[in-house]
Formats: sequence, C-alpha cells, structure tokens
Amino acid sequence: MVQFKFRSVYRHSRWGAHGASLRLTTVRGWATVGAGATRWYTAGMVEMDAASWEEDLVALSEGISDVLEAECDRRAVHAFFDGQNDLDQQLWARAAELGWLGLGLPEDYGGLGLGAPGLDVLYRALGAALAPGAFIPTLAVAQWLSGTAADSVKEEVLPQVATGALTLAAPASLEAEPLPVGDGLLRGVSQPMLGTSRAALAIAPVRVDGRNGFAVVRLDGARAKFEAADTWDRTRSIGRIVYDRAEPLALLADADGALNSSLRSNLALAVAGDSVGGARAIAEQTIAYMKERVQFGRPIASFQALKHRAADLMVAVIQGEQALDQAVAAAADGEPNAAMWASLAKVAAAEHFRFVADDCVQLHGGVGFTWEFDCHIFLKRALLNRELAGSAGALRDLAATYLAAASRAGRTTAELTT
Amino acid sequence: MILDKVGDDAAFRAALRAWLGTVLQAPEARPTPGDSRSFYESQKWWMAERHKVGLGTPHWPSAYGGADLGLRDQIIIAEEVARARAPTLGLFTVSLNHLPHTLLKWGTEAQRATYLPGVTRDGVMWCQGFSEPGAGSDLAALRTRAVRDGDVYVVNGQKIWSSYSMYAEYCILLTRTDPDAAKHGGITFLILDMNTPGVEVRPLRQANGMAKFAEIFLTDVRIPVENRVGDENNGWAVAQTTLASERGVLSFERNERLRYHMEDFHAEALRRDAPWLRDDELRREFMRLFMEMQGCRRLMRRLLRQTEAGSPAASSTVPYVKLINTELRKSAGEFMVRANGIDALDYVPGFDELSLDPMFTYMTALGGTIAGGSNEIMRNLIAERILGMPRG
Repeated sequence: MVQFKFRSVYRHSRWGAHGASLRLTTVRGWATVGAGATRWYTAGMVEMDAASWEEDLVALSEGISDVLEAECDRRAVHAFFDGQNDLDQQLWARAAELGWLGLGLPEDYGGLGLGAPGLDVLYRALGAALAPGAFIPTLAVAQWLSGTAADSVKEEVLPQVATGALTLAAPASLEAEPLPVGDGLLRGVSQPMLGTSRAALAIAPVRVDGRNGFAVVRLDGARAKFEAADTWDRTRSIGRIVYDRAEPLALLADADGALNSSLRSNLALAVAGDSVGGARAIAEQTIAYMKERVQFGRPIASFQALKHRAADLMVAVIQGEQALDQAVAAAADGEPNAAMWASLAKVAAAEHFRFVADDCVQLHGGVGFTWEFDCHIFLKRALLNRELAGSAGALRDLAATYLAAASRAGRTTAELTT
Repeated sequence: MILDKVGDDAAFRAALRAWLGTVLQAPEARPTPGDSRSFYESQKWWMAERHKVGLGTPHWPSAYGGADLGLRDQIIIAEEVARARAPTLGLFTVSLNHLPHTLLKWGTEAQRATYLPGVTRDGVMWCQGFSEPGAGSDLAALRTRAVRDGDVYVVNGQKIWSSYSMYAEYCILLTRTDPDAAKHGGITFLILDMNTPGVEVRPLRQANGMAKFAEIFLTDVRIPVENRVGDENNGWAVAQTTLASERGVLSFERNERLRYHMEDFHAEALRRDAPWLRDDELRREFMRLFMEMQGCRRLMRRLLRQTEAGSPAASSTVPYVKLINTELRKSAGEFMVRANGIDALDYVPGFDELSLDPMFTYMTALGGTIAGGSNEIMRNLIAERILGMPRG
C-alpha cells in the first residue's frame, strides 16, 4: 500500500478520446482513472493500492505518449529544430487543452493534484518525444511556487500556468551568485536562464540587503528582456535576462536556503525525468535499428559484441530510471532526504542519458552522425541536461553534505517504505 | 514466538529485532577471520539458532517443516537480518533453496520425505555438482558419465566450483547418461551421498584467501537409481528449476548488506575524518555509488513484487538485477580500497560477506560477476530473450 496525499477533497478526472485528456468536472467522489477503473477517493490521506496507483500512472503515461506520437513526431521535431514550424507553440496549446500543464499543481489553482509522480510521467514522455518548449522551467517553477510561495503569488501565477497562458524562465544551473538588488530594482545581466523569449515571468535569485531570496519578475521586454542564445540544443533555449531597473512582482525571502534547495529539487526531478525518457527512447530506437541494419549478410543485432553493447545501454537506462524512482518517491512522501535523492538522481539520469545517446550515435554508424537523424538531438539534449539544475560535481557535493548531516544526526537516508 | 507475529509487520519486526539483539551477543556470531573451521562452526551454530525460533526454513511448505511464509515476510526477515549485521546462511544456500525448489517440483514423495526433514531438523548440508572444468557457462557440455548397472548408476567424472562441498553431506549432481543424444538431451539429475566410496573433495582457495569452493572427483561412484530426480535424460529441465531458485531473497539480503556496508563505511570515514571525504573525485564517486546502491535496492524490490504476483515480467528483470547488483558490489569494493589508500592493501583475512575489509570485499565481489551465470551470459540473455536480438 502507498499513501498518497490528495490536496483536494473530491475530484473527477477523465481520460478522453485520445486517452490523455484530463478534465476536472463537478462530479464529486468518483474518480475514473485510466481505462474504466473507477474508484472512490476520500478526503485527505487516501490509502490506495500500490498496484492500482502504478497502473493509473502507466495509463496516464501511455495516454500522453499517444498524443506526442501523433503531434510531436520526429519529422515535426526536426523541422522545428531547423526553424521551419512552431511545434513548441502547437504543443503548448495542446498540453494546456489536455490538462498536462496542471498535472502536478493543487486543484485550488486549476491543477490535478498529482504532485511529483504525475509530473514525472509527463517529463519522461516529453523527453522521449524530444518535445520542444518551456515545459521544464514552467512546470518545475510552478510546482516549486505551489509548495513555497505566498497565496497571492500562487493565485497570480499558477492558474495561468495550468491554462497555458504563460511560461516561465528559471535559472539554468543555480550555481551563479545571486543578483545584488539595491533600491528594490534589478539591474544588470542574469545568470544563464532556461526559458524562451516568450517567457512572461522569470525567477531571479537575488540578494537584498545581504539576504538571499528570489524575485518574480515580469519580462516586459523593456525593464526585463530575455535574450536567447543560439544553443546547440534547439529544442530548448538558454538565454540571459537583461534587467534595467526592473521592479519585482514579488520577493520570496530565503533566509535558510530552503527555497533554493526546493527549487533545485523541482528542477532536478524535471531534468532527470526528461533524461530517463530520452535515454529509453533512443536506446530502444537504436536496438530496433540494429535488427534492421544488415551487414556481412546478417542483421548487426546478431553480433555478440553489439548485443553486449545493447545490454549495457538498457542497464544504463534502468539505472537512471531506478534512481529517479527513488527521488520521486522521496519527494512524494515528503521525506527529509528528498533533496539529496533529487540531486543524485538528476546526475545519474543525465550521465546515463549522455552515455546512451553517445553510444547510440556509434551504433547507428554513418547515419547516426547526420543532422537528419535523431541521435544528435538526443545527445544535445543530454548534454544540456547534464548542466541543468547543477553540474554533476556541484550536485554530488551538495548530496554529500546532506548525507554527512544525516549521518552525524544518526539518521539513515536509505530507508525504503515501499 | 517470532513467527506468531506474522501479519502484523511492526510487531514481527520488533520480535525479530529483539531476538537478533540477544542471539548475536554469542561469540559464535563472529567467527575468527580467515579460519575456515571457525567459519563452518559459526554457520552451523547460526542455522541451529534460527531453527530454535522457527527461522531455519520458514519459507518452506508446512508439510515439509516450513511455515509457508510468503515473500513479503521473507523480505522482512532478510531486512532485519541484514540490519543486525547478522551472519549469512551461505553454507546452507543449496540446502535451503536449490534442494526444496527442485524436489518440490520434480522429486518423488519418497525423496521429499527422505531429504527435506533433514534440513529442517538437523541442518543437513547440501552442495551442488553442476559445473565441470569443460562446462562452465556452457553447462550442457558436461561430461561426468553415469552408466546404469542394474539398480545403480556408476558415475565417473569431475565437478568444480562446488561451494562448501568439503562440508556437504549430499550433492545434487548433473551427469551424462546418453553421450549420443543432443547436448541438452542426455543429462540426468542425481542425488549423491557425499560419503559414498569414490568421492574425493579437494578445496580450492579463492582470490579472497578463503577456501569456499572445491573440486569433486568421482571414481566409480555407485548411486542408487532411486536417487534419480526426474526421468533419465531429462536432467536439463530439472536443472533449470534448480538454477531458477538462486535468485530472489538470497540476493536481496546480500544487497541489503551492501547498503549497511556503505553506510557504515561512510559513517566510519566521518568519525575519523578520512581524507577521501575531502577529495572531490572520491567523495563524488561515493555519492554516485550510493545512488546506484539505492537504485539497485529498488530494482530488487520490483523483482520480488513481480515474482510474488507471478508476473512474467520477473524473468525480464532477473538478468538486469544480477548484472547491476554484482557490478555494483565490485565497484563499491574497489572504491573502498582506493578510498582507504595504501593501508587497504595490508592483508586482513576475512570470512564471507560479514567481513567489512575493503580488499576482502573487493576480492569476494570478483566472484559475483562470474558465478550464477556470468555477466556475459546475462548480457546474452538480455539481448536475445528480452530485447529480441537474433541469435548469431
């Protein structure tokens, strides 16, 4: 059994014709989750059968993947990569329509209340599909705000995220010094930000009167302007924000660093999800290719040297997935060690993704090295993911401090409840 | 009684902890490192202590002296035993798992009645005689010959890598009865009383310094036909059942021990302010391994859940678990040697999984990637049976 916290009292969600539309209706009490499974959810802590909860997530995952397969196919991704369509915009509108953008958010703010496990399913599917757009900064920051910000900020931002009305920009690695803020106005150039030039709001780590915190800033194009860089991974974008006396909409004080840690965890879970989704997708695609590709009169998949390589790819995929499962479970349970596991899982997932994507180029042979083929896009996403939410060294060091603190306090970090 | 608490997890755990806390005070719980005899005595003692409280063969059917304990409760026992840093039951691996698994499926009622109570009552020790010098990964190439002579088989040949066979009273033995049949077709599964004339056991010393396994030489050994398990020439199918029993709770418990080993290693490093904690590369590598360890534990739990549910997915998880688990133990061992620097290379004798010496741990882990189906065989299985890559 797992205990899953629903923030709302009653809810009804429905998988639509595509198998992935999530709509809240006014019907109370019965929740139809997945194909035909109807259950009664009660208020507050709900005891659910672990298997059925997992089945619900699998159904959700399949539904999302079906939509992405149809509407974010590889041809469309390549065209987007070359600036020939606005797939990111189309996908964003579709995601808003199907309720994906509010999957993890509390129902009070237009979300579905599925928390970290629900979001995780979405991140993995988006990673597998090479989906372009501002999903990671928008959804991870919204999730972070839902757990940390004042009600007024939540009311301002979260419903607009759920409906797809705005996207957000977030610090890409959280490793730079916060921006000093003197007279209440932001000036200068930000650290690298993950987001797009369409982002409506940015989260800026700031230092006000010697105290760390975060500013929520409206990107109006004048006082605060997102200047996108030309990045190798064209499915996402990195840029810097130029502030010219920008006045924050809100300031979130972070005296003890808890906000920073929580933002990092939310970003880490997103990047890790994207990574394991991408790693599995390109590994499976490569193995399928190896069964088709004939050399020396036989499919190259029949050569033992390559079989062992394929097995190692899948081992890496599974290790990334297990690491992330640990981090998501810790986050969902509100474990004290959740931040440590999120950091470690992100590094593991991104490193495995890089390894897998790199080897998949080689296993495809000549075509793997071409612009037209998918491999390089996966690899470029992997390389960006490796830096997002913090580098391997920074995150492992952070995790080491968590582990040492827990150990000194006589606390284990490795208890598994499920 | 501890087993009375089954069904109430918290009470069951509490009872296990209380018992473990007391019983492990005995000197036998810590055998003399490097002393095989002391290790053997300790194992016999531990099996006897577990029997006293019904924890010798709790996973067996009650009809044969077990307690019908389900997987969930076996996991709780494994967790608590690992948590208490209690001894393993390594010496009894075949007695507790391979033997009942095989006899319950293929044995006659007479064979079950003859052999199973010996394990539950007296802790009778069994070994496995499968591998041969010319039949390792290619087990079906085995050549130990069994020739029918009236009511007996006359057996000649050599077995190798047979764990603890120098202590064993019985052996489950694979022999070739039809040398003309196809490789998998002429094999017969026999039960051998190790006290039969013509059986000679020569211990082999391992890289970790312990003599844990041995060679078995068989010269005109006469085995009664009634000791045959399954039909003549059908031994390959029987052996598949035997080999399948190697997985599961056994490796789960070993993996749980690795968790505590890594936590203890880290806590000890903190206590003595070990230099590796300040070395960026080493500290970060430890954190990588710590994550892998936790991921492996989750994977292991997933396998056990699949097994309990009778899911066909379990067989697709097994080779991944074996690969990941054994490579991790090797990496963790090698890491601990490197982290402790040249001091780690001072010889310290060990004794099975209980030894926490880094070098002993590493040397022991070298066997894990070879035994139980080498990791290369696991990669073949993954590629061909799970990923559907064609045979070459």
